[in-house]
Amino acid sequence: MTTSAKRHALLRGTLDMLILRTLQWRPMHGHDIAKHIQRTTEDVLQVEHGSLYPALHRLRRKGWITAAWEWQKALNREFKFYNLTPGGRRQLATEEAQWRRVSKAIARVMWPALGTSED
Amino acid sequence: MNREDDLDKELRDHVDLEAEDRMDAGLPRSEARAAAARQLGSVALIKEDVREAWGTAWIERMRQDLAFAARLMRKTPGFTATAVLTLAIGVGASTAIFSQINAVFWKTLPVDRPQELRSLAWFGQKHPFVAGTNVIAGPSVAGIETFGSFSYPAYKEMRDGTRTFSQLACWADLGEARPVVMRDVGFGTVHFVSGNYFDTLGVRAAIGRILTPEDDTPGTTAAVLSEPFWRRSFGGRADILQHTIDLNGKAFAIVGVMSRGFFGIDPSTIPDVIVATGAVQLAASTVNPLQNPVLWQMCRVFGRLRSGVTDQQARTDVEPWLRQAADDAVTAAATMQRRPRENDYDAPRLFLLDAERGLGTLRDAVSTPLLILMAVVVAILLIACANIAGLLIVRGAAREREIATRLALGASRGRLIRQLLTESLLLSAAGGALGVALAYAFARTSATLISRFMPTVYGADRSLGVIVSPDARVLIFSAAVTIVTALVFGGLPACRSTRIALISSIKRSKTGVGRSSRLPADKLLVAIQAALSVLLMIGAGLFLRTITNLRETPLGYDPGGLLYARIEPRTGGIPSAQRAAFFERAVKRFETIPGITSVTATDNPPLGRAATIFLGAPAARFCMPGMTPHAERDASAALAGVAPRYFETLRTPVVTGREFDWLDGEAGNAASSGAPDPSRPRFPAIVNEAFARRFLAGKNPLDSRFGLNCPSQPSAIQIIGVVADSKNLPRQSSSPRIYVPMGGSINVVTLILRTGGRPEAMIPTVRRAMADVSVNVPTFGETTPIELREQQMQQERLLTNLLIAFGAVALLLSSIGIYGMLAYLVTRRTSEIGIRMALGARPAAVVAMVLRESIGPVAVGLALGALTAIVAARWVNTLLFGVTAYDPRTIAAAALVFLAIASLAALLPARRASRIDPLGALRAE
Repeated sequence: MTTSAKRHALLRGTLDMLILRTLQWRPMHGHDIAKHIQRTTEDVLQVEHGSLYPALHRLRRKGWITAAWEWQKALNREFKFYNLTPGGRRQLATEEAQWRRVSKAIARVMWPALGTSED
Repeated sequence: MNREDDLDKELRDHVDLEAEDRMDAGLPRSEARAAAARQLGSVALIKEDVREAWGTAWIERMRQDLAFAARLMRKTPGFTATAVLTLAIGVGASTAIFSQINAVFWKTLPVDRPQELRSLAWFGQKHPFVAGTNVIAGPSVAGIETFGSFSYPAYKEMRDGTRTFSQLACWADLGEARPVVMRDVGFGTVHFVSGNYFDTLGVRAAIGRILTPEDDTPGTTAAVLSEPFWRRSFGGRADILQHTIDLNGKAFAIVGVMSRGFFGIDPSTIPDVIVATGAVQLAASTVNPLQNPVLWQMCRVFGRLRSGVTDQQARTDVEPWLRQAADDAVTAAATMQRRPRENDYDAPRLFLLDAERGLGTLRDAVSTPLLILMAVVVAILLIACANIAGLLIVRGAAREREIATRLALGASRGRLIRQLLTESLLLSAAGGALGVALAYAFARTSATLISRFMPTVYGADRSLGVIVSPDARVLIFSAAVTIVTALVFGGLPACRSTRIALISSIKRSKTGVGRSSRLPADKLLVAIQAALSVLLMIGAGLFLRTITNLRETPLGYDPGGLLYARIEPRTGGIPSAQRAAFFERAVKRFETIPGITSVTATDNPPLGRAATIFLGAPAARFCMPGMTPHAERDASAALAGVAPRYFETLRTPVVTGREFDWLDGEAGNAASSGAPDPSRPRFPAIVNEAFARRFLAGKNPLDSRFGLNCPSQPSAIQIIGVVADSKNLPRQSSSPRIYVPMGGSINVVTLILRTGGRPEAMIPTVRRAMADVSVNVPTFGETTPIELREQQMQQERLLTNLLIAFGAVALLLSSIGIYGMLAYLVTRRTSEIGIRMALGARPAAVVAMVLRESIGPVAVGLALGALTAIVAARWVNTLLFGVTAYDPRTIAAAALVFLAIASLAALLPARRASRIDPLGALRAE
C-alpha cells in the first residue's frame, strides 16, 4: 500500500454507492471495506475512516445493508459483518445509473469533441 | 450487548485490524497502534456522527443537559429550594383555581346525553298572570332579565302539548321561604320534582330506585336521598332503605340514594332529599300550589329535546302552550280578585337555554370573582417568575467564565441556550409537580372556598354541586403553565448569559471595573414586580374599604345585640287557630328572661333568608281609595307580619303614630268578641316612610286607609303608624313596606331578642325558656343579624383576605427582587465604589448612588401598576361599595406602603456599599 500517493477526498454522496458496490462482492466488515476501496482505486480514493462508520450505520438504518456479528475462525475473533439486502441492490442500481448520467454530462462539458461515450 | 457497546467494539476492532496491517508492513507494535488510532481519527466524534445517523443524538444531548442541570440543582440547595417552592405555590394556586373554573364552566352534567337538555325561561314586560312578584329570577339572555320559574298549570300545559321535547320535567327548591324541618336533622334542602325528573335527566340511583311518575301523586311518601346527606345524617348505613325520614311531621319512606356527584340540574345547590311534587303540600301554605295558576315560582322547567329538533322549532312548538296557560291565569286572577280581566298585557316569550353544563346560576354568580381570582394568581405567578429570572440572571453572571469557556471550546450558542433552558425546565417541572400535588391535596378546601364565594342566593351554608377532581383539561393546563413559566423566567437569562464577548470574559476578574452594570433586564423585572405588587395592594385596599363601608352603612335598625331564634309550631302540633296565642305566650315568656331587654317576633326578619332569596321580600299588592288604575298596577309593597315592640326591639324610630300591641292582632280581635273598641281599628297597619312618600304624598298617613283584599275592600286597613326606612342589605335601596300584626297562619316565626350582653351566649337560656312554653316546639336556626350580615359579605371578605395575603406575598417577593438586584450591582461595582470612596466620596453619597439605581424601575413600576388598576376598574366596580375603583387615596396609600418596604429592602445593600473598605476592594482586584 503506497502511503505517499496523493489521495483525493471523496464526494460524500458517492461513499454510499461505493460501499454498496463493495458489499456486492461479498459480506465484509468495516475495516475490509475501507481497505478494499483504497486498494482497488490504488490509493487514489481515500476513505476517511471516520466517515465510514457513520455511513455504514446510515445505510443500515435505511435498510440497504444488514449487520451481524460473526465468528472468524482464522483470527479467533468476532467481527461485525455487513451484508447487502435486495433493497440495497436496487438502490445500488439506481445510484449507478445516476452516476453514469452525471459523468456523461460532465464528460460532454469537458471534452465535447469526443461525442457520446461508450455505454 | 447494547448499541453503544456494539459501536465501541466495532471501532476497537477496526483499530486492531489496522494496527495489524501496519505491523505486517513492518512497523513496530506501538507505532502501528498509534498510527492506526490516528488514522481513525477522533473516536468521540465518530460516535457522535453515528448517533446522529441513528437519529438519537438529541436524546443523548438531553440526557447530558438534564444530568448537568440536576447536578447544579443539588449543588445550590438554597436557590433550588426557594425556586421550587415559589413555583409550587404559583402553579399549585393557578391549578386549584383553574380546576374550579373548569368545574364551574366546562364540566358537563353527570347525566345521559347532556347536550340534549334545555332549561326554560320566559319574559314579559307586564305579567298580570303572576301574583305579585312570586317568580324566580332567571338568567340574563341578550340583555333581558328573564324569569326562571313557571306555574304548575303552565308546566302541565307545556308538558302535555309539546311534540318537540321527549320529556319536560319540573323541579322546585322552595328554599327557606317554605322550609322543611326534618326532625333530628334540623333544616334541610328539599327538592320537589315531577315524576319524570330522573328519567329526563337519564340517571339511576346508586342504592334502591329513583322516583317515577307513579310516585307523583298527592300524598306520596317516597323520598330519595343525596349521597352527601346519606353519609352525613345517616352515617352511610347500608340498610338505609329500611328507614324513614320525617319532613314537617310526615314520615317519608326512603326508596333510594343517588350516586356521588349528582346534584340535579343546578350546580349551585345539592338537595338533601328529593320528593315528588305531589308532596309539595307539606311545605306550602293553604292554597294548593299545584293548582294555583298565578303562583309562578312553583316549577323550574327543563326538558330533553327529541333528536333532530332545533331550538327554534322547540320554541315555536312550546311557546303557544305557555301563552295559553298565561291567558288562563289572567282570567283566573281577575276572578280571584273580583275585578275585570286585564286584556292588554305582554304575551310571554319563551327562552330555551343550553343545560348541558347545568343552570347558569353558579356561573353567573361566581364568574366575576373567579376571574378576578385567576388574575390575582396569574399576577403572583408572574412575580414569582420575575423573581426567579432575576436570580438566574445573577447566577448567570457568576457563571460567565464557565459559559465563556464552553463557547470557546466549540459549543454553539444555541446549544448553550438549550442547556440553560433545560435547567429552567427541570426547576419548573419540579415546582409544577409539587404544585399540582398540593392543589389536589387541598382540593376539598378549595371547593369549600369556592362555595364561600356563592352569594347568599340559596343560603350561606348550602353545599356546592360541583365536585373538583383530576381532569385532563386541568392537567394539560398545569403542564402548559409549567412550561410557559420555565420559558418566561429562563429564556431571558439564558439569552443574556450567552451573549458575551469571549476573550474579555475569560480574562476579566470576577469583580469588573468600568462597564457599569446597566442591566436593563434586571430593572425591567423589578419594574414588573413593583407594578404587580402595587396592583394587588390597591385591590386589597379597595376591598378593605368596601367591607368597612358595608359594615358601617346604617340599615335603619340596630343589629348589634340582636338574637334571632326560629320556631315552627306546626310540627309541634299547634293548630293554626291557636298559633297567634302561642306566639304571644312565647314572646311573653322570653320577656321574663334576665338579660333580655325586649322581645318581638316576625315572619320576615331583616337579613333573614326570605328577604334575600327572591326578587324582593314577599310582596303584596294593595289598593287605595282614589287610586287611579294606572297607579294601582304599581301598588305593591313588601309585607311583613310583626309582633308588638318590633320597632322598639330593632331600634327603628317610629316617626309618627304608634306600634302594635297585643290587642291589635287576631288574638286581640278574637278576644274582644264583644263590642269592638271604636278607638282601635279592626285591621291596623304600620307603613314606612318610603311607602308614605310614594303612595301617601301630601296626605296625613294616620288618616289614610288602604286594602289588601282588592278590589272588594279598598279601605279595610287603617294606618296607625309610620316608621323610618330600613333595608336588608347595604346595597339595596329602601322600598315601601307594610307591617301588619303577626297572625297565626304563618309557619315559621322568627323571635327577635335584644340582649344586654353577647347574643350567642343567651342561646341555651332561650332554648330552655322555649321548652317551658312547649316541649314539642323547639327553637332552631339560632343566629344573629350580625352573623347573617357577615355571611352576605362572604364574597367581599374572602376577596379581601385573599388580596391582602397575595399582596403581602407579592410585596415580599418584590422586595427580595429589589434587594437581589441592588446586591448584585454592589458586588459588581465594588472596585468602582472603592475608588470613589478612596477619592473622598462620603458614605451617604454612596448610599444615595445605590438607591438611585432602584428609583427608576420602582417609579415606573408604581406608575404602571396604578395605571393598570385604573384601567381594570370597570370589572371590579360592581363588587365595590362606597368607593370607586379609581379612588386616589387608596392608590396613594398602596404606593406609599410599597415605597416604604422597597426602601427598606434597598437600604440593606446600599449600606453595605457604603461600608466597603476602599483599600480592600482595590486589592481584591
